[in-house]
Amino acid sequence: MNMAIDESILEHIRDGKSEPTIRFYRWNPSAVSIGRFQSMNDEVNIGQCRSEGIDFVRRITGGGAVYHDHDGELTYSILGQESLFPKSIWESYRMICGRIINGLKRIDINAQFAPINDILVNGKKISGNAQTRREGVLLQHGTILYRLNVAKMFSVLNVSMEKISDKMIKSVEERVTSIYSEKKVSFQELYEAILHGMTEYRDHKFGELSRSESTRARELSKTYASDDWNFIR
Amino acid sequence: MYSAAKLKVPGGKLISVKVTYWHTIDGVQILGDFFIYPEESLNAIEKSLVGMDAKASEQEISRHVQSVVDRNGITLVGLTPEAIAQVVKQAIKSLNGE
Repeated sequence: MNMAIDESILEHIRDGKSEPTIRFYRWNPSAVSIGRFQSMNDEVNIGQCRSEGIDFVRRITGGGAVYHDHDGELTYSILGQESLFPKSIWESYRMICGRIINGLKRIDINAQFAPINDILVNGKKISGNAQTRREGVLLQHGTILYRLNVAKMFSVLNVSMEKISDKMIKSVEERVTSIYSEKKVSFQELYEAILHGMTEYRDHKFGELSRSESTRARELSKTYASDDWNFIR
Repeated sequence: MYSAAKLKVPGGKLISVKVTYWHTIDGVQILGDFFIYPEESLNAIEKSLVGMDAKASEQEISRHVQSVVDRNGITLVGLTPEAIAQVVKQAIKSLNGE
């Protein structure tokens, strides 16, 4: 449903029916999302996902496969007219990621933007982002790792068995970090810090999905649940 | 014949291709964690490669992809026409044992 909600909001902004929106969410149940141009069968262990009740979905944004653990990450979507963001894709990533980085400062985590679309802490990835622009609207998906469960991640992503070794897991832990590894803050503290980073000096209000956004999201969710979409590549 | 190859673009993303070909390229699927704007234009790039001589050089394929990119106002992020050409050629070579 998450991808359907984002597309519904995108359409509503395109039609002038919704304001620019920042959405924070978690995946329930946990899920794997793949990038627009990836192959579901190549990237995802479908059998394992089904047996563990983990969803899988293709995003409309590019980028890579992500395991969205319900307890392990904070996910966000940023939507607004393209005119609100730098025209350059690279600069718009820098701008939006800069707001995440400012938020992380509030919990004493010093992060850096790593082009094209990552945020690092001490050289290790803590956040990945993926952006699309369609019909005058920019949508950026992003995720911040709160806790890292490499073994679980490998069980649902298609990594060859020989690579699922202690060495491989260690290698990932050398390249990826999480909020909790860096600072013992609660999930709520992380959310509040990122919320602050995103909204500082900007007029904003809290809200729910409009009835129209919800209705359209329910319609779109059928596409995102379909094999025609998820296995198109 | 069917073949596949992968390439990590230096400073960019991972591309993999699946190519079916005989004397000419019959089908190409370009996969990976890159970004293309507009997204639908990846299909245009893939379709444009169909019918090319399977013996076309990497430079010829690269120039061909570049012309499609220019003609359609496509923005590639994390991949390049050169990288697409390189990995397509790599796939074809791998099956020919070159």
